[in-house]
Amino acid sequence: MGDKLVVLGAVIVLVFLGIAIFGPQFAPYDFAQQFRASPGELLPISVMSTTATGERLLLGSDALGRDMLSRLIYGTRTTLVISISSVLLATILAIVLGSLTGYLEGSLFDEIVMRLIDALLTFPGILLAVILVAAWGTQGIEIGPVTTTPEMTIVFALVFTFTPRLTRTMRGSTIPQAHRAYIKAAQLMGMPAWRIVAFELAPNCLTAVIIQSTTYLGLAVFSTAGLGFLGLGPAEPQPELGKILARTQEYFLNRQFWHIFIPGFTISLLVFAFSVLGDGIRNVLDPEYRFEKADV
Amino acid sequence: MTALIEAESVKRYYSNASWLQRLLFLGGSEIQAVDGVTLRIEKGEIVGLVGESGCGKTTLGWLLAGLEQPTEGAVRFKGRSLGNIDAETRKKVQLLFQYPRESLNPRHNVRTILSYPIRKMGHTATADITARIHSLLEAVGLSARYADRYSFQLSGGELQRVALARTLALEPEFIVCDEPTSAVDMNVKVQILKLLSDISREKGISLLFISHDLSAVRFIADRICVMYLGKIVEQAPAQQLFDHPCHPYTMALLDAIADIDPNAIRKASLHGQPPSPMAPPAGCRFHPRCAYTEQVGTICWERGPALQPLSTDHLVRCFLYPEVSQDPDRKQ
Repeated sequence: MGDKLVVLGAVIVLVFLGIAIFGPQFAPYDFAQQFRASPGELLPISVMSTTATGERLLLGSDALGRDMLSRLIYGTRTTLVISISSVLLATILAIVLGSLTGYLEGSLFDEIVMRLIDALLTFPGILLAVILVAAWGTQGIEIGPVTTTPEMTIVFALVFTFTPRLTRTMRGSTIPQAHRAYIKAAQLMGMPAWRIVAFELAPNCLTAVIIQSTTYLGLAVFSTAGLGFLGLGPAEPQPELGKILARTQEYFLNRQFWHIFIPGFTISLLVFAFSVLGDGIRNVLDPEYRFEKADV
Repeated sequence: MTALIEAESVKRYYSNASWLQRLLFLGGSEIQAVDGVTLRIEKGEIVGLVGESGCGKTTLGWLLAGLEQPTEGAVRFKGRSLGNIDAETRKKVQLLFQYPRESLNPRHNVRTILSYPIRKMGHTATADITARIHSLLEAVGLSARYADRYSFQLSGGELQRVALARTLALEPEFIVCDEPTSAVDMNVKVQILKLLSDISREKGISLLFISHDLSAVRFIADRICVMYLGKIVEQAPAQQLFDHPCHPYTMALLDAIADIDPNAIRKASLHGQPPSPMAPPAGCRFHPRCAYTEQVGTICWERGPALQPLSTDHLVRCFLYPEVSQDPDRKQ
């Protein structure tokens, strides 16, 4: 049963990745195009609406008369790009910081980095990302000559939320390895510290952090959509799953109450697929868990 | 003539005091792992270091290899302190670890493991490196096929050979062998010991062979040091130590070697556990377990004996032998 679930998760994730990558090729309309039911009147929210100019919108339109299906496709793309790149960046950062602090355990560098991380860890879950996006704004921030895109702002905020825990994990698996004889032998050979960390130490400490980061993918989708839902997503007209959900929710008490289920179900499906896939990857990578399962 | 490597009254204490205790000069308890050891090793010489577990022999080995810094005293290689020596000379002092599986990176194959030290020695061409790998593997008695194996594919003896090859790649002049044969079985042990002594004689490499296995030390060492609770209690050429042990502890150790005759009378067997190095006994550190204290008298727990010569190359730290007048700073 567990294995079938993992396959299902993998299939769903692949389908979504396909949508994200090839979306622009098969999205029926532009995500910002507004359709009208008759000249001067925006298209009402409904399923299978037909516009004044004769286009049929498969999933109807949102409150501004934009094609729901196209927005969903582009929104999936935005959400996935933000969540995957934030987990990827956070993991890379955590591997670098965790292996360095683990190798230099007890040093001033370790103390400073870990106290900063402890400070970041005091913020519960998504709250830190909310604060950061609210502070930086959704228009993008200027870093020297470069101005970030709104999406990058959200990625940075999420990286700040994910990195602390991942770094702790990486540091935790690095410390016991750092005391092993093969590291001492490398030191005796006169190997420079950066080389010891990069080539000897870190490759032996990756399992735990990779397991954790795959389970974070689901959380990242959830967080991205959550930020969008709270109005902290990328600015209009850029679609994003959480933002689409927030818009449909404005009409929840109308007769189009079911409209909320279209983005809602999409988000749930993505989170579910990533979580199941993350569990599957853990089972493959974590031998302890695998043996535990074999005993049953 | 200066010795190749020498330790001059080195001490290594481990403190468990926290930074707050240290700030307030409270000081937690201290482990005196190595407490004032003076040892000289000449070029090409194989010195055995024996003692019970926890007597500080591994710490002394790590001090001599430069993996640990002495709390007091100095370790000198070719007359220069090991602490601030140039990287080029530093590489000439190496260590062979107790558990070879631990000392080889599980993610690298033998080729990768050996390539780094070979490159460090200035061989950079691929063909050059391959040739070096093969000659090193041959030197430790392994065929060239082993170059592509990973540590989990090798047995304990093969692993120790690979570890030795990695050490030899740096063309060392002094190798600390930290119980290199404790993790392998009997016939492999003999092979490794033979290999070590052959390589030492062939290339003129000095060895410090640390072990609790007296037969192994007897087989390989020219000179033997016996260590008890952080101090060297007896030092003599191998044959002489086995023929005429002088310190009560050495006698007890030799007596403890398994005897074929079950009715053999054990003259000086050891009782109890060695005292904790956190609170070593006053006076002679061996006196609570010594069979000769009654004969010698109260001096045994009043003050510690000095390491003094019985003959030119036989040193012993015991009140059984008449004290030779000596310079005061050797007293301890």
